[in-house]
Amino acid sequence: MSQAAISNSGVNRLVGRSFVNPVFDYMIIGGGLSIVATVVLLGWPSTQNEISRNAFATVLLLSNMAHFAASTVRLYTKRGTADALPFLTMAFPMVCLGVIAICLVWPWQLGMHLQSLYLTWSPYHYAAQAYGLAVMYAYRTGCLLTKNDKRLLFWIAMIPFFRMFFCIPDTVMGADIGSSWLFPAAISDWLTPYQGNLDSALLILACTAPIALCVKIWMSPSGPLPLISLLMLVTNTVWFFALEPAGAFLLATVFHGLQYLAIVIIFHVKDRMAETDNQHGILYHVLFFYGACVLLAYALFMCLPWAYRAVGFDVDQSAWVVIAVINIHHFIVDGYIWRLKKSDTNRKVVDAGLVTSS
Amino acid sequence: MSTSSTSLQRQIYRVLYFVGIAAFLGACGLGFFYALSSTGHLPSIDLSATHAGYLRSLTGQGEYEQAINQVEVARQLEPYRLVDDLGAKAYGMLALGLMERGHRREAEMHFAAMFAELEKTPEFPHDDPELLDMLSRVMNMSDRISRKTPQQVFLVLNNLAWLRATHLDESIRNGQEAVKLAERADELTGSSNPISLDVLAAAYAEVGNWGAAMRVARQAIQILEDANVDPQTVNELKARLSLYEQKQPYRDPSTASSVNSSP
Repeated sequence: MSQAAISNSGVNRLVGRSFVNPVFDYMIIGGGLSIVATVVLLGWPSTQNEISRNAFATVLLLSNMAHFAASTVRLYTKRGTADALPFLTMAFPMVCLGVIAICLVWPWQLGMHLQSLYLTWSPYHYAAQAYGLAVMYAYRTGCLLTKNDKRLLFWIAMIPFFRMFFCIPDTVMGADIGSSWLFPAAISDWLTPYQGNLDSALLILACTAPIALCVKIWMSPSGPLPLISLLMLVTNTVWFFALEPAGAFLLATVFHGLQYLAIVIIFHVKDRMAETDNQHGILYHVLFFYGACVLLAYALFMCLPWAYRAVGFDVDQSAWVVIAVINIHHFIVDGYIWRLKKSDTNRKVVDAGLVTSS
Repeated sequence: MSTSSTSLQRQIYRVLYFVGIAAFLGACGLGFFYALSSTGHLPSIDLSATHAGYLRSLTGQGEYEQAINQVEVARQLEPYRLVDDLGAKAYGMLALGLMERGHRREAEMHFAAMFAELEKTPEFPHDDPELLDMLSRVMNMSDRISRKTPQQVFLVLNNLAWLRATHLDESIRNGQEAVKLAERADELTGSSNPISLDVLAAAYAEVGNWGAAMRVARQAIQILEDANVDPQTVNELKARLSLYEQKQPYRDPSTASSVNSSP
């Protein structure tokens, strides 16, 4: 790595090493834009009613639904995954189609649980992504976190998930989630009187713990944690603490999707551009990947439920079971495609332009 | 041995993969064209629009049970929004089904839509026995509906009572029900509306209560004469009164179309 590529200045260490440029990384990948959106929604609640359902549905298709498809597109476009992950790439999609069919045969017995599962899993998925991206930016910037710091960062990232798991008394989008779904009624009832206090405690922790961790890391030989890593945690906290649960899910859905699409497209493009036989420019790879994501999202979310309807199932139930299965497929696929083994191309992308510790 | 079993496993995965791809592409194609043919538009990205299209399609085919299932699922996923332009009959059928399943809020939304549709209709529908039966069930459900929209309820009570009392088709007539409905309509107006009194008289005549029929008919005529309304209406009521005096119920000739068209 050339000396010119290495920047050790304090400001750069604090800003962090961007993938695109600081504004894009902070607003899209870091989720800064979602904080602006939250402020607008809280300050001017009527904005929510002014957004037409169709416009919101289009935004959902282009961000959230496309991001679900993105993990699949990444799985199949990343070189070597079919050999490395034969079950995931070849058999798992068939398993998912089967699960959809089984859940539609017993929609109330199984389908509702599948919905509860994905709604419970989602906040964990968002928290895990915030943690993963925070660590990745720290690593890229040359802030080498100790195992202990990483562990602390993980638990701090999980605070919004704990809130959604333990402190949401009612159903979200028609389904029980978290403790009210997983725990027996007796435990849920026992928890209910403490939920308010637990919620407040988690809020205080979510506001103070990231700052305390930043100070701790700064004082250590690792040097400062880049602010974008802190922003990842703040963004996730804002999503799940500032808005009521259904609103939080909708906001998180859109901005997590954007965050995810940005990072996955960056990895895809960098992979492709690094190939010796590459014949296309960056724009081609961006448009190809994103176009494939939108197309697949349309097929998965819009067309597939109607196929189940055509063979006699209820179309709305089909839609929601399909959504649940796609979510769970995405969570599982994500667990594999973001691995950062030394031999993996992901590692090369993260390492590119790596800032060394001073 | 281990290599051959891994190889076999890969072969199985490969087969599953190609079957899965074929199944997925086939399913998406099927879904696309099914949505297009059954709703008239492309599979939408707005679930409420697909729900609306599908609900219209189901109610249009008279598949009310399935349509109620649809509403039941849709109401679980978001605050339910009424689907426009389903028609009075569909709204009523959905309202009844939802009420029976305990979804009072959504049922009341559909009742209100049904009344609004009936109010918009220039002529009260008289040639659909299923619709009339549905309206009878709605009217028998509870007084709660009357309290919410008395004007619209009055319209339905009155028209329905009239058809039950005077329809040319014997299978549609039901004297007992006509009396019940007409008495409720009359109660709503405090026995001061000559139209509802006229209907009540026809209902009494249908059950053979000639004394009550003549008394109520005379009361209606008196109110109209006092109010100096057009003599044609008064003459119509007088003609009906003379029928009751001869112990004959009134039959409304305008209901003839449904009789002629019935099999």
